[in-house]
Amino acid sequence: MNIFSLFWNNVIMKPMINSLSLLYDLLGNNLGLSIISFTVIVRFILIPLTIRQTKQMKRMQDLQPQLQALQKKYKNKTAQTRQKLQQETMALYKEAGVNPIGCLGPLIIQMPIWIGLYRAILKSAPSSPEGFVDLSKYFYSWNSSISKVPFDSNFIGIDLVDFVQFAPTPWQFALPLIVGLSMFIQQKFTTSPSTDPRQQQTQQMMLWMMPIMFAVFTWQFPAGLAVYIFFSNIMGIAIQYFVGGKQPLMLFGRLYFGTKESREIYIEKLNAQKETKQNQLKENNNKEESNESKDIQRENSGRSNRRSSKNPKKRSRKSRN
Amino acid sequence: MLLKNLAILLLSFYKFAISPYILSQCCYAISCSDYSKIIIKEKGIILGLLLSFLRLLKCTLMPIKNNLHINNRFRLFIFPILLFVFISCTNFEHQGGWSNVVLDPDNESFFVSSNEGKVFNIVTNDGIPRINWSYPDEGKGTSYTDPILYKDSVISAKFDCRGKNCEGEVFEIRKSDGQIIWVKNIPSKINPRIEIYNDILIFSSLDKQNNVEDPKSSQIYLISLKNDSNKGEVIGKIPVLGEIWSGVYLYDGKIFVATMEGSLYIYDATKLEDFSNNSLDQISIDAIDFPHAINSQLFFHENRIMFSDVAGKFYSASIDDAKTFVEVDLGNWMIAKPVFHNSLIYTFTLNGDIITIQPENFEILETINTDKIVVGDPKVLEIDGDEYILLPTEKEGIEIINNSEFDKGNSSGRYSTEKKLYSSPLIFENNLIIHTQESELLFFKVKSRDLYYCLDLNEEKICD
Repeated sequence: MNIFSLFWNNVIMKPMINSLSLLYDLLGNNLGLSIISFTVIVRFILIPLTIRQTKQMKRMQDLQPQLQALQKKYKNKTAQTRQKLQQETMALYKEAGVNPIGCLGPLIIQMPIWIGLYRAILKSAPSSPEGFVDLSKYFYSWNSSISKVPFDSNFIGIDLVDFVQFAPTPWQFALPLIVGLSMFIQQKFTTSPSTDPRQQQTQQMMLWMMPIMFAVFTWQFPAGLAVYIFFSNIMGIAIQYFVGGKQPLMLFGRLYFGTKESREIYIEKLNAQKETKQNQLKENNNKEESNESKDIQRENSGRSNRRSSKNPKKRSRKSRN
Repeated sequence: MLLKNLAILLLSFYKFAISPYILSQCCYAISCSDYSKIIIKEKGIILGLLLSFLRLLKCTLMPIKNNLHINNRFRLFIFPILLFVFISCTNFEHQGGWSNVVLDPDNESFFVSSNEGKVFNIVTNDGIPRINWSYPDEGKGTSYTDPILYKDSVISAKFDCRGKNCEGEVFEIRKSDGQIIWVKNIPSKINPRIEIYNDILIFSSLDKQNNVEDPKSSQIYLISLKNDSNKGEVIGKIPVLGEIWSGVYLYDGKIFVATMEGSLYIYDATKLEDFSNNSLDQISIDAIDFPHAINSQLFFHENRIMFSDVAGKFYSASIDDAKTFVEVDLGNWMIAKPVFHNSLIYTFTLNGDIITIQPENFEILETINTDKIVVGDPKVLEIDGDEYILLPTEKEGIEIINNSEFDKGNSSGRYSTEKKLYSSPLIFENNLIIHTQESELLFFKVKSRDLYYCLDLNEEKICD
């Protein structure tokens, strides 16, 4: 535990508090601007990772049709075919040069930064005497911006150190909303229509649940952290846009941004997705019909299986697996 | 064994909550986390970890299949929810427990405010708290305030915060039976420093006031202690710009207050009696601006006032003419009271420096780094004709430094405590009593330095 806190304090907390205070000093004693510029710096440092990750994802998506062909080829679920399927997909990836290290979710990388910033913001405005004693330990001895303590945490009418739920009335609702919205748009940009049903499912979940959850959590964050997440998402969207080949954004059935080519590709993918969906529906219907006919047979023989007839969808998913 | 289980537990958590987020997937039929679990169970923690590391290496060097297998939708949310709980819970730390132990002049008992804001009266003979003598009945809140003995009663303060909304409470307890005489509620945190002048209780809010139009303004409260109908009532409030962390100080009939806006205010205490809000100009003697926020206590020595600011500057000025001050750079924050000894000033900064200052020309003579953080006020102790200086360090108890060795900073032993320590010890007959931040009272024998008794004030029982 001691090693962990030593690592945590020296690698995350100290650099964070020092850079925040230095930026505060440089930017005319404005904590809001210092948090925003901190966001920009962090995002710039993470650019190589983001680029790598977007490229990986793009490659993965390009491989989708080939993968599906493979899956169709090895439909039987015996141990042998499984192994073969795995081997061949691996070979496919190797050919395309997909590397797993760059595939780490962007969320995971940002997590320590969020936790660190949450604590750094609260620590930088001590509300108790021991908080004061504690704060001095985080400053490097050369950092003269310690003399700017206590930081003026007021930024466009919000107390950045205070929790969002205590912010003045428009902001306490607006901050979670813009955090959720920016996250939603970022997710939207990262995902492109996929023909793999399982991937579709997770994409949908991530697309909706993540922003909603973060909007709810933001209520409990210091306003400064909400500002960080918001600007980080905005930066993420911008980077994603230029690195990911200017993908268009689809909102309410309309396409925004993007170049002519990327839009065309996007529409193509959408159509492919629709087609697979329709095919699936047809398959499901067929199966349902066959199920029902089986059920009828069973009922006739005196054994009714209520569950399957009540919830044919569940049944069909099972059969897909 | 414990480590092994912990590793397995962590792996299970990874598998359940984190791995769905990572787009990569293991290239083997048994996933890497499952493999490591099995191998750790079979071959022990060291070999197991090594083998799983090797496998991870092999795995990550090879291209990997991308497919999210989510059987259970709920799994996706476990990780963010746990993370959220983790970040919201990491903020709970012990607060308060800075109160010094105050000895009753009749030597029969002593008083202390626990970190939960409860004042105890403890009998010196047996170290047991007096039954039915404590206020409030239930410890709820925080206290940094020393109990103050005034005539036949004890005065102290505490506060209770919910988020940023704080409720302060100042109260007077009758010393003989522990009955409460009056309680006054203040809508803010209360600074630990409380002073009494001519039956007037003077204290300040610690933090900026809530529900005040100017969020940066604090208040100095004046409460009447006269035995009339007005007793326990606020007879005046002096608004001050900026948060007050230093507290109010009384010296030579004057009140001194320093703020985080970097100002030092001086008021005439003799004119407080008929103070009303209109006559603020009459009681105000001086207001001096300094470049940085003043966060240390104020110290008085031989008609000079001393304090330090957040830039690590240490100031000294004459009481009568505070405008002309001398300053010296300490390089770090100073919270503890300096020791005035052998016509030298020893200051203690939060990075563990002991800095010796020549009072006449206010120059640094020597700096010793001891890596001991001193927050509580040091005390001078005399044993068998030898003088010792007791330094309450934050984490390792009280360091004993022989006076002749003081310039070298060499320790000659310590009264060690495991808990954090922010208060100053009480030396009574052959006993040394320490109040830790988690409100344990530790009793040491002065000479042998043995811990012979420990009382947990919050549990009201002998420590485990």
